[in-house]
Amino acid sequence: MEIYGFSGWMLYVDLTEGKIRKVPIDLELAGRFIGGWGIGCKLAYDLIKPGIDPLSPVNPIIISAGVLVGTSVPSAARIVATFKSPLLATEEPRKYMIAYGTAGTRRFGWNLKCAGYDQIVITGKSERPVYLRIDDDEVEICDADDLWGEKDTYETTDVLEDRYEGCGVISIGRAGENLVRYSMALVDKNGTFGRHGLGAVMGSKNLKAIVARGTKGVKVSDPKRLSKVVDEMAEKIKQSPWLKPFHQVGAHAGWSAYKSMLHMGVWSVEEYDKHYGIPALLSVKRYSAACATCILSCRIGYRVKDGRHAGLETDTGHGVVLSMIGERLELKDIRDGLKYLDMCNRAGLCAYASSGPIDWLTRLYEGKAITEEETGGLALTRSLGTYLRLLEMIINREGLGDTLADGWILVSEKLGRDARKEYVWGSGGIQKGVAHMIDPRTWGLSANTLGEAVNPRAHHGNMSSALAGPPVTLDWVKGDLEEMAVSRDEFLRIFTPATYYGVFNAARMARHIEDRGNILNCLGCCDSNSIPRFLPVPNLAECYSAATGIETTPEMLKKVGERVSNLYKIINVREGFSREDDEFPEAWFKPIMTPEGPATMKDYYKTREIIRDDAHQLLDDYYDERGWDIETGIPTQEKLKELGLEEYIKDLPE
Amino acid sequence: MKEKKSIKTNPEACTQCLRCQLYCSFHHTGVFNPLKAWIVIKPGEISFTDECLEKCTLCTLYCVCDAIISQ
Repeated sequence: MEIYGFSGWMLYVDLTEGKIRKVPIDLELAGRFIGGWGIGCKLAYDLIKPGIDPLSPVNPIIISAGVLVGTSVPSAARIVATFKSPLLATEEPRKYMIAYGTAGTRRFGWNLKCAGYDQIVITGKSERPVYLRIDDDEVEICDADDLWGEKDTYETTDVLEDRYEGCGVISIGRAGENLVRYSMALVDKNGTFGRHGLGAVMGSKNLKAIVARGTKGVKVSDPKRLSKVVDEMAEKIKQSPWLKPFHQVGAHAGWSAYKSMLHMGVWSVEEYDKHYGIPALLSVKRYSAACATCILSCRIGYRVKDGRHAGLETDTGHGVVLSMIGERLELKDIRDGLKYLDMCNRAGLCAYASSGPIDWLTRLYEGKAITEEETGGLALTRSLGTYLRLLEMIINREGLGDTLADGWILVSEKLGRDARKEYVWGSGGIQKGVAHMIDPRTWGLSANTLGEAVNPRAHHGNMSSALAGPPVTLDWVKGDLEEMAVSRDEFLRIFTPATYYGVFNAARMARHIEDRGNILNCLGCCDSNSIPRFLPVPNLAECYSAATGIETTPEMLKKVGERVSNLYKIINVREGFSREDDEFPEAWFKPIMTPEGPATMKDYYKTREIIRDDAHQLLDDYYDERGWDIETGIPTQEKLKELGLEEYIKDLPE
Repeated sequence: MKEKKSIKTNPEACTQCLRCQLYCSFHHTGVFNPLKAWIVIKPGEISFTDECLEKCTLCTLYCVCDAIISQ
């Protein structure tokens, strides 16, 4: 039977036995879960047994290529990795979440599809360091002794690209090898599976890298039909006023708004702009980089041209991430910020996640709240030298670094402090073991930021919508929601003003944005492209239908998005998560003191303060909109039956 | 690899989105297959394979950053 859009195979790799198995993809699953991460979630449910140790061989790594990856659909380059995160999410009881990371890819995604694979499932643990080579029909577990402990993420990628011309590479660095719980895997140097510790899970398996190279190509069912909708989408993107700014400065194109919205209050907005604004970024820009198929192009590569760290080159990290780290650590020279970022990139360490504990401890030291006795004799004066020293210690798990490498809850326990209560400035708020990147006290409690609190995995990217960019009008927001295939009733509920919020109901909206984000995960399209409304669900349904030959309406796609949201939730309900874990971080209810005055949590249009009672009501509304039990925040039997997920009813708590 | 007079290249402007490779490969093989494209994109480098037809400038229709321009 001819298969279109999909590549047709799932690859199972057992690193313990050294065995490889290829299984044809069950297209019945496409009807229920669309493909890509939707099927990945189904695999995660089947393979990740509740309560397993995330760093044990039984924790699988499931890599799902979006269905449209390998076609011409704009931004269809994303792959999603699903795994149990080694970052402790709650301390009493101790719970770990099933996390996922999404990565835009320049070569890996289409190479994997062109080689013939939609999904990779990696289990077990190799005795020796290895890399996985996927080369059309040849799939091999290869010796990585020359790479492990020797080559950083970029060097590993260079070696493997040289060895297998044209390939894509996923690589970990020393941080993953040493099981730092928020280490990352990088993809084709620019992409990252960020924050939840995929690097450590790969490291725990002695898996240094994955190489994919494919020459079979991706077939589509109706090329003319696909071409028509893709041309329409491409034309819209090409006409967009965002195109040129993105080509110049990548995601920093939103800086005129982001400098206030992503501002941590350490500096004034004016000073922040001076150190990390557009001129500063351009002074260190080396190239613009797009993921495969992406017209927008949100990434840039860096080079320090002169002065401090002259000659330094690094390829990973959006300008906004660099800026946030720079502000929080008070690195006035963007070149110092790049030095920090580069060290993290090469070690495969989440720079944002690492900068939080480092910021916290150095501030405690500066305020004499901790002593050198507690820091193992280290003088933690706030300077680049200290930060780099601490990074080295985290990456190598030495001394205090060994503590910091384990994440917020374990750091707090070991130091006898509580970071969630103490570290309230510039943290974004700590929840489920991670610090949010987007802080509603400066951004506003939009549906996106609220969605971060309730999403099982606090994902700033997946909650993407028009609200994730510079502020837009209510009409524009309404247009965005109309393009998410919401029903008339849903639309009315979202845009009925709420006295405890504002002109729309951010909580009800969050549910639909989440569903659309999951559609993007299934298809492999990018949330950055959804910010300027380049990815309306009707277009995506047309792309999917044309590519696969499986006729799908926007409403059907929306339903699948909802189904995947529910299944992903069930996987985490099985691990013990419920409403209490979705409650807003304490920090959100305290102001950030900024040079412009206190910044407090307000609605998206900053018309009123959001207080605890409002938050409580908003959470009620989110669960109500989901059709879940409001008290527990857990899907109901009725909702699972409605979605055709009856087989998961047994996982609901009694 | 060869020079191609019908296309002016500007590798510095290339974002490596590979739309050119996707469309080129689809055009002559019927499937999307960047590694079979007749235009080859590497960081700082744009080149054409020996099979690439001198008069064909199809790829330039899909470039969004003027890295390849029909002459």
